[in-house]
Amino acid sequence: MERVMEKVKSVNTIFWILLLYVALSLLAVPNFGTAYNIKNILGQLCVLLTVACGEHFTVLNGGVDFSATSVIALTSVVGASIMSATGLLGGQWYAVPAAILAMLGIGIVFGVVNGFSIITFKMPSFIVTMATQMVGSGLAVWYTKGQTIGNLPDSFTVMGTGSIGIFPYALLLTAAVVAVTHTMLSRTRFGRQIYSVGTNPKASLISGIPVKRTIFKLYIVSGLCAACAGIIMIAQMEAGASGYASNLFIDIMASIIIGGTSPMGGRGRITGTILGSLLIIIINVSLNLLGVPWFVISIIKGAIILIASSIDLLKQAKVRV
Amino acid sequence: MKRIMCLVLACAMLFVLGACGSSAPATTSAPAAQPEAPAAQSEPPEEAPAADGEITIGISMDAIESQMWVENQRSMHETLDAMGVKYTEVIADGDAQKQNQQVETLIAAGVDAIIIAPKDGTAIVSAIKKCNEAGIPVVMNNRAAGEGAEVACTVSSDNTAMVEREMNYILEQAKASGKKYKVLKFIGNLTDVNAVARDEGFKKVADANPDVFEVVAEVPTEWKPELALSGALNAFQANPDINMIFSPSDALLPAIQSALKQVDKWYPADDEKHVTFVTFDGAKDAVDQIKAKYVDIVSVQDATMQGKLCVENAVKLARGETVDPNAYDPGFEVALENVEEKGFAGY
Repeated sequence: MERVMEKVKSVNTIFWILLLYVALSLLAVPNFGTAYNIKNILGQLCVLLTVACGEHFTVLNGGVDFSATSVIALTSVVGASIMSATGLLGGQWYAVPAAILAMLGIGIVFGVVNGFSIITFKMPSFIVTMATQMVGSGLAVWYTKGQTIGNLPDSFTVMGTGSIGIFPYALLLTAAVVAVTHTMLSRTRFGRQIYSVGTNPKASLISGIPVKRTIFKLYIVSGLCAACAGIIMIAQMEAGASGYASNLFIDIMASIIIGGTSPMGGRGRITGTILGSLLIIIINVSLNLLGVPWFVISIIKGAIILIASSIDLLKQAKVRV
Repeated sequence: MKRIMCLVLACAMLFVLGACGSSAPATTSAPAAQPEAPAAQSEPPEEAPAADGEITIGISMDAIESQMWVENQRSMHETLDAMGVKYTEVIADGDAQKQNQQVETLIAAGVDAIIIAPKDGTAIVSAIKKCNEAGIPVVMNNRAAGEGAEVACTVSSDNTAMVEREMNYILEQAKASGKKYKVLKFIGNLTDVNAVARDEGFKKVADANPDVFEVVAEVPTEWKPELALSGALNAFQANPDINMIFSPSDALLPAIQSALKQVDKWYPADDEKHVTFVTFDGAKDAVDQIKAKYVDIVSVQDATMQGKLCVENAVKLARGETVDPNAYDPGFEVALENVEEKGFAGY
């Protein structure tokens, strides 16, 4: 019995909140438990969870990556402009792979610029990534002149629109990102170095951990995850636009923080971020099904972040005592 | 135990807050039928045309960004209430991705027809395709959708013709007085077909009369007043002799007014420093400023009629009837000369 209680206690608090919320939604929200709605929830989860996995790395380091949202916007317009029927490589067999490579390349470039600026100039991550966020958004608008680029090949958009039963194809890419990032953090030396640097960079340096290289690499991971989210975004929207993901940042941070990752760095698991993202999406969907106005949804999400953060702080205080 | 109780109470509180905040759809004499949940597959709820009293209309709004949209929304609600039809409404807060997700949620809710005022006519196409797959007819409210999906009806104004009419009004005055205009032109969001159409209307008249209209500055705004304010200040810095402004929406009027005051150009029509002001939509602010002679002309979208047309067509489609694929609101102009006789107070 004690072992069972220990097991229960070790489960993330957010898991119980999510379970309770789902149970209440199944009882009170019409059509919440239908297969179509579950597919809808899983489809909506893809972009948020994919980008949150990358952002998770920067938060573990006690930092932040504001540029993730503009990477999504920029990759979406660049990718769409390459593979669109009227695009740079429209109609060519290699248009889709070339577009995907270009999108991933943009993610890496942003990661390199962010990481390099942070470790070389010792600038705070929020200043560097805020600047690159502005550059990325500006580039996206300049590149498209504000136009939305559609007419993407079906062979690409099927990833965003197709599904096997209730499982959207895009979930495969998200699952791959989750699996890779989870393995990196929990099974590799790089993962242990991230936790160590996030907890105490000075002690990590003294103990021989390559602090600068670790920080540099984690911003590349964040950029790559944002690029993957951009790929999913244009596949789902069947178009690329400079305005995409402009309001997504709050949901990304909310997913990570309510998932139990400390904004001070050094503590938090990808599994928590999965649950956090799922909770955010389920709140959105359930309250939309109830016809709740968007501003009330916003208030409720804010309240949940406050409650989850308070529980987290209370737990930490208990540990210190 | 205490922690579990805290969690239960917190979740219950949030849920109650959500339920309290839910919009109260109009009631019908019979309770709305909830669609059957699909058994083992993820197909959307397939529905036969609903019988009277069983219809639920889904409304997806981009954002309530101006008084015109407030009136459009009010008119839809009033018409639905009068018809005794249930509705559920979602607002995307100006986010194209969120709007697509919300439309999918409306499909999951099993509505019988969806009225969409899109943020982005091209980006909304993928959501409309899903409505098509689910057999749910779509009515576009004020803004048309891009190509690639089937829309049952589009309710809109003839934006190009309306702007042409107001520009011709200014042209006639210019020909009579021999005045020439150096124009500061604001542009809405280029992903919005209405913004593009209004710009086309402006260009048709301005390009045909280069001896009267010279565009010295263009400010893209994405419908954001803060961009209009900074853009106007920059434009007047570079071209202090601007004597005409074209604004594609009244939503930008307060910001432009603020900029004109800052550069000492906010004067009524009978003052020689007056900057001729042409705008669009028909908000109360704009009509009030025409009465005060600060604004010269506004082309009015009949938001009340558009809202009503959207609902009437959506209800007909939900009942399995056919409708005209295009429903136009002809609109009208309110100018310095006719503001009193029109008796239109604005939205």
